[in-house]
Amino acid sequence: MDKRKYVGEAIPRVEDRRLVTGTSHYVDDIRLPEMLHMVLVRSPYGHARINRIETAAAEAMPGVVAVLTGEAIRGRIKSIPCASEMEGLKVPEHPVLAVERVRYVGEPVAAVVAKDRYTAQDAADRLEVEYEPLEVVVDVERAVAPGAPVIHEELGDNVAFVLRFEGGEALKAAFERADVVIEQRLVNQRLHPVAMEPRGVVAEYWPGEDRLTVWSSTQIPHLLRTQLAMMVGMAEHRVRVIAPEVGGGFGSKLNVYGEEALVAYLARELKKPVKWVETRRENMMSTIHGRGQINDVRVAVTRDGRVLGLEVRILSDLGAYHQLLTPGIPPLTGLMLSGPYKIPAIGYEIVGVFTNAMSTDAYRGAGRPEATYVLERVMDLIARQLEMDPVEVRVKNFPQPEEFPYETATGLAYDSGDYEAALRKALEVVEYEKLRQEQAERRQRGELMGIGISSYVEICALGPSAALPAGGWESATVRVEPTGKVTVLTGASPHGQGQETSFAQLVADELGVPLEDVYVVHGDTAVVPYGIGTFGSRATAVGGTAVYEAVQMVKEKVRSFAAHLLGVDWEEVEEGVGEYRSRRDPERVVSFQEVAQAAYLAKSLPPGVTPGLEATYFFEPSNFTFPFGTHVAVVDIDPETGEVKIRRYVAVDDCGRVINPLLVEGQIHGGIVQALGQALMEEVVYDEWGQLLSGDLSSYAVPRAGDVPWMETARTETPTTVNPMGIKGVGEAGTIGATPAIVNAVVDALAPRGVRHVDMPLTPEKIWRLLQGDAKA
Amino acid sequence: MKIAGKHTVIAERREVWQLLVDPEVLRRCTPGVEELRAAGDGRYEVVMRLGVGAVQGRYEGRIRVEPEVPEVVMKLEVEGRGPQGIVRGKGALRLEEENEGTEITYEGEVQLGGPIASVGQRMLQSTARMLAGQFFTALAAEAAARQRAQATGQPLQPPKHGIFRNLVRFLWSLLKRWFGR
Amino acid sequence: MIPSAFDYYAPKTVAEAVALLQQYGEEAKVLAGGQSLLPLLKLRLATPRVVVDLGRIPDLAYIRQDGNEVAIGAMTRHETVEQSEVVRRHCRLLAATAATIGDVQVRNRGTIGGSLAHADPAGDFPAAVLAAEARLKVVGPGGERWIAAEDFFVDVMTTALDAGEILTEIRVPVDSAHTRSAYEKVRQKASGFALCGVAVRLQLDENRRCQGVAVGVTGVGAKAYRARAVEEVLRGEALTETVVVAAAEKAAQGVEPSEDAQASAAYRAHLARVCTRRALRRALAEG
Ligand SMILES: Cc1cc2nc3c(=O)[nH]c(=O)nc-3n(C[C@H](O)[C@H](O)[C@H](O)COP(=O)(O)OP(=O)(O)OC[C@H]3O[C@@H](n4cnc5c(N)ncnc54)[C@H](O)[C@@H]3O)c2cc1C
Repeated sequence: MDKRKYVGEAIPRVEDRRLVTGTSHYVDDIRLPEMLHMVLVRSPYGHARINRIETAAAEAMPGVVAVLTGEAIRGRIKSIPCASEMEGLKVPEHPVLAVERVRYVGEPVAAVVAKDRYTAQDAADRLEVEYEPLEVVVDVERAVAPGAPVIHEELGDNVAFVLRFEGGEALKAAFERADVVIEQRLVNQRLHPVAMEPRGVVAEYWPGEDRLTVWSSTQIPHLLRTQLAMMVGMAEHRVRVIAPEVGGGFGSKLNVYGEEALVAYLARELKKPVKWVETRRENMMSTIHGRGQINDVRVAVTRDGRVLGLEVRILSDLGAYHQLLTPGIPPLTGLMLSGPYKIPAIGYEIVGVFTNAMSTDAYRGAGRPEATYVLERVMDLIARQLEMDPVEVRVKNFPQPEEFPYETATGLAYDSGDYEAALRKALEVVEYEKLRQEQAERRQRGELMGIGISSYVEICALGPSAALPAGGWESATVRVEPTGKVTVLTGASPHGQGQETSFAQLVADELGVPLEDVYVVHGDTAVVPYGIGTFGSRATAVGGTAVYEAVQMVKEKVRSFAAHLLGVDWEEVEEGVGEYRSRRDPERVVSFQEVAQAAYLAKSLPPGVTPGLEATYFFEPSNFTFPFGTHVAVVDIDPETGEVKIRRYVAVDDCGRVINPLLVEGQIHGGIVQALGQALMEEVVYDEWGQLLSGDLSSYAVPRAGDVPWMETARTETPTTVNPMGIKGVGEAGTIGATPAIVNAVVDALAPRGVRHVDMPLTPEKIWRLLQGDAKA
Repeated sequence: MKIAGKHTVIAERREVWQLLVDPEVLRRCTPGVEELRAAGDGRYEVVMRLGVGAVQGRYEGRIRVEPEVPEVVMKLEVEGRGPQGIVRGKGALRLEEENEGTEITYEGEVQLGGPIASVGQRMLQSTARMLAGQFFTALAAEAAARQRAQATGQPLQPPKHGIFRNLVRFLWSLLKRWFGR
Repeated sequence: MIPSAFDYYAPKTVAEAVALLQQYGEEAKVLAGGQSLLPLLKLRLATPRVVVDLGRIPDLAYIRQDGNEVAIGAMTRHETVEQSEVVRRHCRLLAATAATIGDVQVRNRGTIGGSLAHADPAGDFPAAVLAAEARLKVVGPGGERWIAAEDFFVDVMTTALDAGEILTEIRVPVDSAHTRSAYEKVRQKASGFALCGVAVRLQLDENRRCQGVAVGVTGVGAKAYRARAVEEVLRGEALTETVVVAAAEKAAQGVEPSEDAQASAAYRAHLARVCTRRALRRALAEG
């Protein structure tokens, strides 16, 4: 009898009611008695010496409790941590408040604490900081050029690291053998992650208990706790971190920020709760940025479109300091440079560069969108040069299903995949042949219509601990309460992904209980066993697997108790939905609740079984997973204004087994929207003076509902063998797959006008300029 | 952000130059100046209220005027800081004799920093143009006042530019109404 | 995102409001829908000591036909202008323009008077009132005066309003059976404001010859302006495609287009031509 009724169903999220009705609790909703408010004074200069900070006027204002400068707290709060390790990596000191120098616009210089936010802001405005402006460098190429201002003088120059992956003789031979060599510079511009909820922190300290509680809008409560304890010098077990409702992160909250340590420190010093909530402008200035790579690509190809070798030089704009994973992101691009293709020889060099800008770090996709962008632009460039159909070039270079597990030249082992199947399915949905015909006809009429394809493979379910700086496993506890209600504790920290629903589906099915009887708890280090968090499309594949394994253990115990209550051997217990029956005597039934109660009352225990009904599992994945898919975009370009309209969008994604198709679709949709933002609209702009010109939402364009096309989604389902449920992960797929599909479509539309490549974002003006050039030519 | 423009002042080049190096004149003509103290060597310390429409802020800073070619080219540097951020500008004025007076061409670069940088940059160019326009209009009035004083032998009555600006605005709209269509 | 302190006044009449403005001078700011002022307050880019809220003055929000004009109270919300039967029937251009402003929340708060008084160089209503040849009623310490729309916009965010004056009413001549109008806008992607917006209003005779025309352009220069050069080409002509194209070419004549991180001067000037052409075509296609 198949008892499953939830897994695989499109069940609306249990989270949504509270979110939509505005009744859930974000950091800003936390209000404690006598709470103080912190406001930060931030550098208006991109690079300057701090000569003097005059705090007296601010301190004298009624209601002001404390004014902190970097100098004043020197040594009291440790440097903001960087978890990435790499040979030869330069790690500059990164104080929570700048000392002597500021290195980017928005760098915190002083903290003002007052009885309310108004007073704190007034005092912050009164603070006098005397700066001596220094030469600024925001352009990576200029930053590595001789004579550039050095951002961290003690480090010698602006190169934080050079990472080489040698292609060796094989690569050399590939280029010698090549019929065609194509070279192209591809830029992945800096982006603002723009989570709907900016960051925020509240901290409260109980001196009697020596207990510090920190509420933070974070994706990684446990890792944050460990780091905070070290930064402010407390024993880890005295610190409790709670991630309440978190309004999106996209990687920007997979971090440890100075403000978190400052608020914690202040709460402990002042013995009063302290709150800081980021404004949107602070969010744009001083929450990590994403991407920021210049990729110089060379590819060796045979006449019939087979890729022999790929060489990429990556210049990565790290910003002024390392945040948690800053130097760790560009290497992911290197690692993924084979994409879904059989590329026999690959070589790359990554140069990580300091600039007078906010740090870059993990932003949805984190290194993989850049790799996919490189490959998918390259595939189109090859097609263009060899006058082949872009489909044909891709198919020619895919590994075949029987070639899995497939080992890439960059050293990854793809466990499973059928890349051509996903591509074919996408072409079928979009009716590729018909579209090409239509395009030919419309081109005759001078219209600009383009079709863009992007096939991708991503690396998900991060990941085997050996490959990650802080461990890549995940924890889960499944506890059946005496009343038969089920509590699931997960070390993952969902913040919009919907695991409160999907984990409940999984557990409800396994235990045969109603969905509403399962309550998923996350994001509280005092409640949940140590966990890693939610990022890298890992929460379901790794965290979900931990839940799955824990529930198996609980089931075992449930069965023992059921057998004991029924007075039979456990082999003779037949599991029904919410009840257990003796096979020999079907009249004898015990309910799930009765079993739960018996386990806690423990009047009579089955031999060798302990009381209680709870199990904890730490799941360590043996490998990453490698979801894949193909996206197709069809665009029309207004030849007069240069505006791009996405007429159709088809996404075929393979994320393995699906627990809830609604959630999967939601992730794909959101990912595509963010990709569209990068492809067409978004760009962090610093002027040559280091000023952030894209520092608010009236100058930084994120897609709105009206910019988003109708998205047609379909799936292929190739379960992974890496975990028992066959789940791969889907959180970043949309962002990874969609960006190049859109860019390829636009370039395709412009091809008749001689355009071979355009750098993102493909703004109307940029396109208009290209069309102008054509008119003149 | 680059800005450039020209204005004609009905006065001899030498006279215009004299006006430009007179701190009192600068104080009166520079829009929004509340205080201006000569600090020697072509440097001035200023407090300005700058802005446009509802966006208004107080800035403290420095102006540096450097005659590069006396009576012909003057270099200018302004930097002001306030709670809203930093305004800085750098440029040059070039004076050329024209039939009826002196043509002043300006060219420079203005930048905003800090909190106002991203919101303000959209208006920066037009605001800078407007402020430059106000400055030169005021300068022209100063020149006219001097000429009047000289012609009549009366003591110099420095013009009040706020009122003057409104007058210009009013006259301008009248003119447009009469000749506009 | 915390305003600095200010005193808040909610006068009940225009006269009281004017008196408050007179009393506090440059220290005071009028508050209408708050959709432009509140963000500036929160960013502390505007720090008035006194805020005078017009929201409690009972009759500043109305739309009524008065002879051959439609009178719109300054506090009328964008959404009301968009939905109003009177506006839709008698000055369609304003309803069409209102529909393109911001999002529904902004339209439900923002007012036509605030939009005009703010004189954002990329605001939509300024183009529409220019093309509609509206006149604006202003009340100040010296009583009331009327200002033609064209004289109202002086420079970037600067209007003909004096410090103590309040804009109270907008009057637009009613459409006739021969009136054609359209508003064509290219949005700045981040803010939704007009990178370029062109409003046209034509009076045609039986032979579709252009008897009257007004073209308002926003987003391009420091302020919204009448595209006189375009109007001259159109006036008296039979509006063929050739005439439309030739006229539109002059859409940015005589203005210095702005340049910023969002668009170059050249692109803005280009958009002025494209939007003018499209607006004219759409107006003519109206019927
Ligand atoms: C997210 C967003 C998007 C927007 N998008 C657009 C858009 O696409 N197009 C567009 O045109 N606008 C847009 N706006 C602006 C919106 O239209 C504003 O409503 C309008 O610019 C100002 O009107 P208000 O009533 O809100 O005025 P307020 O913000 O209250 O006031 C604005 C200024 O005008 C002054 N003022 C207001 N009323 C009067 C009066 N009667 N007499 C004298 N002075 C007065 C105030 O003192 C203040 O200086 C947007 C705003 C937001 C927040």
